[in-house]
Amino acid sequence: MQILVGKSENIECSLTKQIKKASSKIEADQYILDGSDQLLFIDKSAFDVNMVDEKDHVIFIPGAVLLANPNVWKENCNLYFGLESGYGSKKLLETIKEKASASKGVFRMRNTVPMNEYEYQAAEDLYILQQTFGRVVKIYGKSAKNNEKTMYHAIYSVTFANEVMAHLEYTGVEGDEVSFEMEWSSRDIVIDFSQPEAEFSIDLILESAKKAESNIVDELVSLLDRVKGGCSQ
Amino acid sequence: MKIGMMSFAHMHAYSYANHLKNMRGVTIAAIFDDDVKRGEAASVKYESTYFSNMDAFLAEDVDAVIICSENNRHKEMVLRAANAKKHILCEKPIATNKEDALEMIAACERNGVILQIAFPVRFSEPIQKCKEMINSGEIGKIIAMRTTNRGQNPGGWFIDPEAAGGGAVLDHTVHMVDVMRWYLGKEIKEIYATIDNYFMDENIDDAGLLTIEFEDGTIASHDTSWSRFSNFPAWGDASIEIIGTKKTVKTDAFGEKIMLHKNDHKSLEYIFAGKDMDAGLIEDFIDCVQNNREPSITGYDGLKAMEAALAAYESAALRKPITL
Repeated sequence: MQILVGKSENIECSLTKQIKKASSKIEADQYILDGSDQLLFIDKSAFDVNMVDEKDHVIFIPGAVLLANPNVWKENCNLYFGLESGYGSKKLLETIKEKASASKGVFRMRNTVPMNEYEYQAAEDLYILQQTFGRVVKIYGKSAKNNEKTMYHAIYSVTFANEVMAHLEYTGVEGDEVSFEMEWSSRDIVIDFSQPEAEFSIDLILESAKKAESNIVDELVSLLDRVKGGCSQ
Repeated sequence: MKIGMMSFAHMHAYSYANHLKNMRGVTIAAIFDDDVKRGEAASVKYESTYFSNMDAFLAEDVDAVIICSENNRHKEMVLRAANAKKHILCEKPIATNKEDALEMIAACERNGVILQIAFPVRFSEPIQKCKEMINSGEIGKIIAMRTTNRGQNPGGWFIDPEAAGGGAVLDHTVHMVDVMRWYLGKEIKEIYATIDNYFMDENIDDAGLLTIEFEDGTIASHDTSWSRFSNFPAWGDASIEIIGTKKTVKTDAFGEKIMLHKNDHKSLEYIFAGKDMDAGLIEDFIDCVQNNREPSITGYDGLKAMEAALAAYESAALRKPITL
């Protein structure tokens, strides 16, 4: 059975799959989906890591979720990455490569993620951005929270090997509108994209997901270590 | 009130002079410029008297001067104007190094004259509206700010490291650092910066990303550049997003615009449709001189903004955060 783990508000309908939704493992266990055109969707908050032990399942999880549970991944896990799973973000990165060679420029990105997940999300995003801008050379970060620790903002200043400087910013705000934005500036080129919230396509997720092989997991964990090491609070 | 203009090297001089000319009870009584052709042309345009000699200019009966020279000449002009007991509005950045800025501030204090620094973004209506929202408590405690100031390469002496003291990072950072200090009422504790040259073939910085922490723990990002090319729809931006515990708000000093689409080489053009912030700056300075009050933007404000930009250069050179 194919199982997709994600944030339900961010997932767009699929053109190719019939989607069944489950809000818990118990509910998920009740479904038997045999057809190749069927997929079980479980909200990230209800995902039980023990599900990866069931070898019959082919599971698609976000890179950030794997980073939160790096020791439980199995070969039946496929990783997907937000920046490859939304039409806008995917197209923007492709356009930067095509129009500006993805070098000698300024990249800025801002996203909203749940509390305490920004480091995982930053590592996941850096994994994909490295494929566009070259390897991460240096990371320096700052984060701030309110007194009640119910909201935060984190800024990562990153330099990439292709002479690219970047700011990746993550905000956790309850009940407020914070947009998803990406922009690029290089000589004679400015490219930008924004939408109210990051949206992922199930079809793009299935198309771009990567097997959770040790080299990918190791790279993600290494980036997470660098993100954590570069951030002061 | 009689105002003297000292140098038209900075293009803002023309905007300031246009507003002075439109103000009731204010005259541009004298113009000094060591570029004779430029100074004479300005004196014709603004129906004023041209001086090629600074001493002769400062001997004139003017109440205040507006200095719009190259950055590295601010010190000389401020010191001489202060000694001549003229109140001063000095274009930003106040200077190109801390020692000069301190000397300028001290000279004005010693001579009892006003030193105001030209940060017109403070007089942008959308920027002022945010300040009102902060003061009223509508935004709550500020957690973070995101700022940009990206424009076109001004060319000329701006890309001469000696005359300008720095490139886009010095030219633009001071504006948004000043706005952030004004909003928070706090000083910067630490700056980390990446600075490079991406947008032109000149030996000066044209791109910078700054990561800033204020003394109260508020963090901020700043994107500063000369990245906007000549066919870009607008000159650029001066934007700020404030992430507060109650609300997140975003504005741009150049955000009030009409979009003109046309079948032309430059098919889209943004036409600024807001109130000219330079008018607010000039009105404020004239009011300050008339009422002999503390300027709304002091020499100290200019010093702190310049220090932030200089710390960014130091951080980029050493590849580590700098504590102020």
